[in-house]
Amino acid sequence: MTESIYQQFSETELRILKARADRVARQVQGQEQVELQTVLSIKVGAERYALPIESVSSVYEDISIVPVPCVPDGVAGIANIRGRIILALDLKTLLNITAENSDTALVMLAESDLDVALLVSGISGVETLLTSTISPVPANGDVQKAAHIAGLFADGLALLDMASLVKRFSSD
Amino acid sequence: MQTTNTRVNFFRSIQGQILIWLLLLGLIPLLVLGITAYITAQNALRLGVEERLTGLVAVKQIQIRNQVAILEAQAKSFAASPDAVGDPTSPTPLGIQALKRLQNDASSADAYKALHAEMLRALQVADNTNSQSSGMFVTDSAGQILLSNIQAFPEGKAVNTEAYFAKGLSGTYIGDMQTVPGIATPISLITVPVLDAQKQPLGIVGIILEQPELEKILNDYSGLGTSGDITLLNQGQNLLTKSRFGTQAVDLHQHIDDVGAQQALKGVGTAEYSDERNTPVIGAWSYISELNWGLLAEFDQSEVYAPIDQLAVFMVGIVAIAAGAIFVLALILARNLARPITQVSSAAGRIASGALEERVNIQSKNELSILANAFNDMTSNLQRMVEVERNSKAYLENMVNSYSAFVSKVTGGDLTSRLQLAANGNGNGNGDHDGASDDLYGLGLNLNAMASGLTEMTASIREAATSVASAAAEILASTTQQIASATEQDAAVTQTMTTVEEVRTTVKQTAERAQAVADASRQSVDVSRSGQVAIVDTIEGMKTIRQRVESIAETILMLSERTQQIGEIIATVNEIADQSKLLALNAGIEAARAGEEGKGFAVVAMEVRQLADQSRDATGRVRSILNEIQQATNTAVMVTEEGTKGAESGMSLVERAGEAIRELAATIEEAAQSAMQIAASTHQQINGIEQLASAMQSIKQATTQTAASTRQAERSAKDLNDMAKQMEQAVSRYRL
Repeated sequence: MTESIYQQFSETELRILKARADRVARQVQGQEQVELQTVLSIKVGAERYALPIESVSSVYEDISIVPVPCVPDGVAGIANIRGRIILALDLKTLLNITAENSDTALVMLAESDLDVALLVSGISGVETLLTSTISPVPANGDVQKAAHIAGLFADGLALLDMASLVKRFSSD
Repeated sequence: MQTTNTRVNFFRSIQGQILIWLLLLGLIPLLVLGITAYITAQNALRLGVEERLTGLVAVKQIQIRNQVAILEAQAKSFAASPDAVGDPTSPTPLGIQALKRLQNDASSADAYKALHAEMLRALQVADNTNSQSSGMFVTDSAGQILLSNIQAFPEGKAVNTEAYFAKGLSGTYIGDMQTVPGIATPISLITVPVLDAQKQPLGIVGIILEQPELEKILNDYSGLGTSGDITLLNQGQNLLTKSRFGTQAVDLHQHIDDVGAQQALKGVGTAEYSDERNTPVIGAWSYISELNWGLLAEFDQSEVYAPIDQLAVFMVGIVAIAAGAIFVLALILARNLARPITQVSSAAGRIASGALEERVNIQSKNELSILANAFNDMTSNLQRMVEVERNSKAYLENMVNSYSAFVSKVTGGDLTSRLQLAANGNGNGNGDHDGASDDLYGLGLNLNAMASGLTEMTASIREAATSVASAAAEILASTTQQIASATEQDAAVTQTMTTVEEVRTTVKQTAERAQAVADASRQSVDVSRSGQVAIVDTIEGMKTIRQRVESIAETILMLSERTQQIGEIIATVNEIADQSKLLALNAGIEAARAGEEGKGFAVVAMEVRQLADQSRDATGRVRSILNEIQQATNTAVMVTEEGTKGAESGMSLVERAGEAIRELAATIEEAAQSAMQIAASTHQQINGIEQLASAMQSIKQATTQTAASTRQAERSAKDLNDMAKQMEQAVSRYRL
């Protein structure tokens, strides 16, 4: 049957089709060379950040946070998610961003031994981006914020450095 | 002396009566006999013609059937022959199927030509067996003409759409007359099937019946006189053969619509009717069922009944001659009888007018001469009696003259004279006048006694007259006084009456005005009543409006509640959309973490998230629309509340207006009643015045009558006075 299909085309058409098939096939081969990074994009105040997807366990919205006394600045409080007591870190404070304190969205982290979640302003969605487009953080910005940013994607999305964040928390 | 009318109406006279009765007796039997003979002869003639026409129609019908049957047999015999059906034992090919096969096979053109020529020759032979046929043709089972000796049906022509082909395949078919291009006269086609051994149709054989062949049969008018006609009609009542009176050739469009044509297509029969030319005819007809044609023969009634019309003329002549003869004879007889009677009657007339010497002279010796003699005797007796009467009359005149001379003396006032009476029977000595002279003597004595009585009476009257004259003078004086007083009274009464009439006129005007016021106020009452009714209606209307507005308000409130319920539902949907979005995010994260295996699931999660976003957008729009509805319903509630208030204030206004109109009506009614009372009392016043006027009228009449009677009394008194004087004068005339 396939033979009969190809029989319909002229030699020029067959040549064009073959070139197209080669082109598509080459793209698939080339994809292996490109490195991709899947991230969760979030909002903190008016700014957008990206979290590597490997470090995210799940997300929640409209969760009420219970403040805990005598804890460091970055700790927003604790929250009850499906019977589990979660420690909520205020990302706004960690990144030194000033905004109204009305965040309710939680991002559960996967890499910590503890049940830790980041309190953020909003969750945008899961995105897949090329690692080749990551550029280093400019040196003239906020030092505290720059310490937790691994790099900037082409569209201005800042990739957070999870290790640095967790380390800061554990150091505090 | 009055003479009797001797002129007699001729029809009542003896002569006239004899004439009329003899004429009737002679002519009635003649007329009865003549009319009976006419009717019987007419019936016999008609029956004869009907039988003749019926027989003719039967014969013509058989001839037409034979004609058709011969052609049908001719076609059938060819259809059954080996030339048409084919013959398996024949060394050479034969029949329709073989011809068809050879025609289609291009390689055997010569064989086809040979077979075609042979079959055409056989067809020609079959056709020529009967001189009346004018052509035949053969088709195959598909309706194509294979053989033909008619130019109008050429070989190769397809006739499969024609009715005669389809019907001819299944059995013998005889078609109606039709016109065919190429043939001058109309034809009828007869088709029969060609069947093979298995009774399967191979084709048809058609044969042509030409219309002139039918005309040959029908246009023979022997035995039909000068007006007999015989024609053939098809089911559309169109002429198939030429009529004896037709001028144009048969074109199958000459529609005949008389009684005969209608009946000829239904059965057999005869009748009298008016045909297409409006000529009364006797017709006979017969329906030929297998051909679906009607045969109609007609004979003009004028020709059939010609002999009896001659008979009628002859009868009229005989009746006229007989009437003349009877008239002459009756006239002679009547004259002989009537002449003596006329003589007697004219003599009697002359005697009646005084000619008593008249006598009748009749020569004949029969009953009439006896009558004449008796009449003469009667006249003689009458003459003698008149003579006696004349003598006694002369004596009576003498006596009466002497008595009247005495009476005129008494009348002249000489009461002293007396009649000189002769003794009994001392007249002029004629014994015939004894009885009369006795009576006249008695009368003379009485007259003398009357003269003596008159003398005494005149003396006493003279005394009485004197005393009456003095009394009458007194009465006259008193009545003259009375008349003067009656005249004064009459003048006074007339003045009073004039015054009463003036008062009456014034009161009447017052009454008319009062009546007009009463009428006007009654109209006002009516108007105010209708105003009240209108107010009640208006109040009802306002109530209805208020109810409607209230129900609208309720409906709008309900709508508002429903809108709120919808808002709650929208909130729920919104929540669900949020949760869906979150779930989709989590699912996306799980899928990303799963790496290559989770990629498909990631797409699904993305789609679910987009759906959740769309739900959110939609609910947002619904919420804004709901808000608009809520605002609109709020406005509507306010507006309806205002409407309710407006209706209520309208109602109170209308009720106030009603109250005002009711009060107004009451006032008007009172005014109307007073006006009516005034009108009524004025009417009573008029009545009283009219009674007064009539009383015055009767007083005046009485006064006038009194004056008149007083004058009468005065006149009577004067008359009485005059009469007393006259009486004295009259009595003084008599010498005592």
